[in-house]
Amino acid sequence: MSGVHVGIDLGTTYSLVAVVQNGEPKVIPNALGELLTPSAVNVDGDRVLVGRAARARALTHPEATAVSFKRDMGTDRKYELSGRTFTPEELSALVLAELKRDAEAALGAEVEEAVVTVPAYFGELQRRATRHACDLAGLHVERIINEPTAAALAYGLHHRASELRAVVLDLGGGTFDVTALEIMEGVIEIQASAGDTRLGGEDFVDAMIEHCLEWLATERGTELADDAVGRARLREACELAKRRLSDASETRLAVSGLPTSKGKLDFELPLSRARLEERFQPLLDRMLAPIERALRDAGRRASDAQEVLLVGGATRMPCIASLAAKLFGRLPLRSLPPDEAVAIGAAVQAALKAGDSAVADLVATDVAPFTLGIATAQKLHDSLVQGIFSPIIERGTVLPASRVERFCTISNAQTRLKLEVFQGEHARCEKNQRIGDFEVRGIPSGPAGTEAVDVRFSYDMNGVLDVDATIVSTNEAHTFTIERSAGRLSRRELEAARARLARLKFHPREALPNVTAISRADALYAELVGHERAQLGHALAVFRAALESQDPKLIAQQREALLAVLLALGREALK
Amino acid sequence: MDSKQALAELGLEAPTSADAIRRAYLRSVRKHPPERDPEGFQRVRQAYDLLRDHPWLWGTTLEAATPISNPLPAPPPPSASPERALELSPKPAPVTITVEGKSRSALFAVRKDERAAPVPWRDIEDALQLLEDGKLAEARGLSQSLDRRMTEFGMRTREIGVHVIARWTLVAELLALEGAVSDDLIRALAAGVRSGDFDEADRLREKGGWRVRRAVAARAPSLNKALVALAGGPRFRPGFSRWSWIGVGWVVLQLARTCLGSYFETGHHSHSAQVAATANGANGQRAVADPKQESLVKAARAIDEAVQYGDCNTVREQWPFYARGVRQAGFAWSRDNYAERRKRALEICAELAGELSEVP
Ligand SMILES: Nc1ncnc2c1ncn2[C@@H]1O[C@H](COP(=O)(O)OP(=O)(O)OP(=O)(O)O)[C@@H](O)[C@H]1O
Ligand SMILES: [Mg+2]
Repeated sequence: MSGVHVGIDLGTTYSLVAVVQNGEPKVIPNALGELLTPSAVNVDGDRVLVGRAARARALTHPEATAVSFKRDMGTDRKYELSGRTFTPEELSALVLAELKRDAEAALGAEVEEAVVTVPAYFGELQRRATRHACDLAGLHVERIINEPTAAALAYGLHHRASELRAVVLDLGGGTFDVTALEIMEGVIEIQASAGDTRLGGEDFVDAMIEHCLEWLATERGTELADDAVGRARLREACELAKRRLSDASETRLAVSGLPTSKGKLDFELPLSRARLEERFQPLLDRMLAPIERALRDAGRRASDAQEVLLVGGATRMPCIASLAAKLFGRLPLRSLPPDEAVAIGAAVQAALKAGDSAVADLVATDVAPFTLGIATAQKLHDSLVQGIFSPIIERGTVLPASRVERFCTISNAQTRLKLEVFQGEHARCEKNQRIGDFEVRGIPSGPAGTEAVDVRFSYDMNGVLDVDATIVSTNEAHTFTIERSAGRLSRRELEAARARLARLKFHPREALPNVTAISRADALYAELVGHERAQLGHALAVFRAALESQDPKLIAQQREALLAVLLALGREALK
Repeated sequence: MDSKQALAELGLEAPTSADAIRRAYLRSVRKHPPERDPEGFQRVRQAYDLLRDHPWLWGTTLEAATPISNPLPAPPPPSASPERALELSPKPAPVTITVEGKSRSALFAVRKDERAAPVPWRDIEDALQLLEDGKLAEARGLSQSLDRRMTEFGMRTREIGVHVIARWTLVAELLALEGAVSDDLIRALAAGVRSGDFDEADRLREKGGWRVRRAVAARAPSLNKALVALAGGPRFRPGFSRWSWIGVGWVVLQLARTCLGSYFETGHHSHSAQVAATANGANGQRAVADPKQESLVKAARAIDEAVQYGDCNTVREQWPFYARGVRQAGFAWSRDNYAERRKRALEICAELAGELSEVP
């Protein structure tokens, strides 16, 4: 085997890369030795930083840093970072390239192919954007799988001998996914997936920020100044407080020198879990609909589930576990590492696809998360109603699948049929997503309704949709393929984007720990006052001097010293 | 693929139960994993779908059974009279495009072709047609033979196909209404199920007063829910003329199927009710702390609507939250409305007299 096959979890907040080696999946550490690489990109002068250093610089240089860009995949949003423009695809590509480098460094081999995960509820456009990102990163990716499917695989790997029904709830930074699965006769059967692509830990932070702003308005009669750094620091403080409240029932939220419309304010606010959970209620309510839908699609009731699994960092919040417990009438499990489950499952899928004998006895089936169909019309009285969605492959159909439906002409002497392919659940086409357009020509001329065309959709496991149209009377067949790489970007645009990314400069891999240490220290420096601030300033200065000396040993020594100071100052920092 | 080939594909001689078929399917999937043998897997799946959706074939000996052809490989030719129940015009009129933009040519329009439906579906549709025609006795006969066929083998919902079950249940509910409401209402309801247009049924039911509303709610709960859903549904949204909705009757029919489906699909009432109850539980709890009384108002509104539609289940569900909210609030206005609301609720749910807890 020339190269390795890895699995990548491209997350809203964290991304990971994992591999199956000797039958055991494991997550690969990055240049800092950490498993989670924050999905953040910072442009520092002419250099690009990805990961923890960029995450830390979001505090000190918010205008030069992009985070949570996964939420904008498939849209036209542009990010302006230090005068350079990036699309969400390009930002994701930078993260993917970083993971690829990490994997290659750790495994000492080229990455031949990768399986990348997306939220189950990502539509076709978002999936295509993800493929573009992989292309741009120089990753060979055939298979994109759903995150909860990956989590299910990670879970099924160790339970394939048992027989049970389970539900996986994945609440990450930006998305919520539900999957119902059953393991029976050694087959992991994914029965249904549903989700919300705009519901995750970040929304809980948003709710907390809103809470703070309300408090500022009512108790202090002021509002946050229009200042990116101030906002970023408040956000960070909320994020940290949210995590503390996962373990404690009360905490204090403090931000010193917060710029407000009445000048700098030392903001301090006691928070209780109970009070916040009231604010979270609307978000918790939104989790019900996807759960109900996945259960319904799977033909199950809540009480059937023998196990409920929580994955995704945000399920660490106690209110999520209690919601699950209430709904399913049983305590949810956290038997999978919540941050790593998806990456592990992706690695298992990569091994499966590569024909790795260690996982050869693992068999899994997955379903189509969306309905695919074409636009049809209906004649009523003397009017014609167009844009009616006629499903061909229904959501929940086990993949790969091939289905055929017959359609007929609607007007006299009609010799052409236009096949507009849509994806979605709405009865009207305009509410669904258009994913392709074809025309069938050469239909023999005849009275309306006499000529028919059989339209066959074949949907394979890689998400490629083949459309065959056969004119019934002449048996003449037309074949079309919806190119999975065809999307908003043309080949040419992709090439241009790739060239643009290739021109970016990165810090050398071995310099990353240094850059990260400085970025973290800078971020903390802004938070501190007085003596502590001076202490950190001193350590920073010494470290910078060491960097000047270019003596690797001295640099390593002073970096450890600086990290020790960071730790000693007793402030937790986000990874 | 016919039933015999399907059994062979799954390595079965003769199936005995749904569970046996499912296990045989999964064992075959292990032999033909989708990852390595997509064609083989699709054959296995096709066989499984065929056997699962036509369970009345199981008990019969294979020779006696009419092999059912799976629609996949060879779809039947278009039916001779492709007119649908929903096409309102009796004679075909020339096509002139009058709706939705002139940019699209009629040449590009396609129409979904109706294909011959599988057996139980046909029978159920026939039963509905008989009901709509007012031939209740015949409908009952057909339904009973259908019931026998379908229950003989101890089948569960999942194996028959959810939409079939949903419609089957509707037929049973319609038959249960016989004698309790006028035959006209039964016919109108059957017509509503077939076309998605419940206007006439709604009118007749309103005319019959609360006794009729209660009878429908008690004996035909899912029909009642469809009625409620459709009457409150998009047909009456401003901006949509009634006519345009009848025009897209097909869409409304889908809507009816979806909303019926959502009550029926597989786990059905109990599951939906469970999720709803959890949500309501949260609401109920919040009613206590909620200074604006939002959930109290919500519960009150839900009760009023349910009373209007004779839906005693919802009344029963919502009442405790409402009563608790009133007790907490103790507002003078809610006390006034309380007495009135209680009277109406009791009128609809006469049998609930003991269950509607009093506010002290
Ligand atoms: N201890 C904790 N308590 C509460 N929330 C936490 C905790 N730890 C992590 N989180 C939240 O989990 C989220 C990140 O989870 P995760 O890494 O699973 O998401 P992701 O995979 O990056 O995102 P997605 O899957 O939505 O694309 C963040 O919003 C973070 O705030
Ligand atoms: Mg995730």
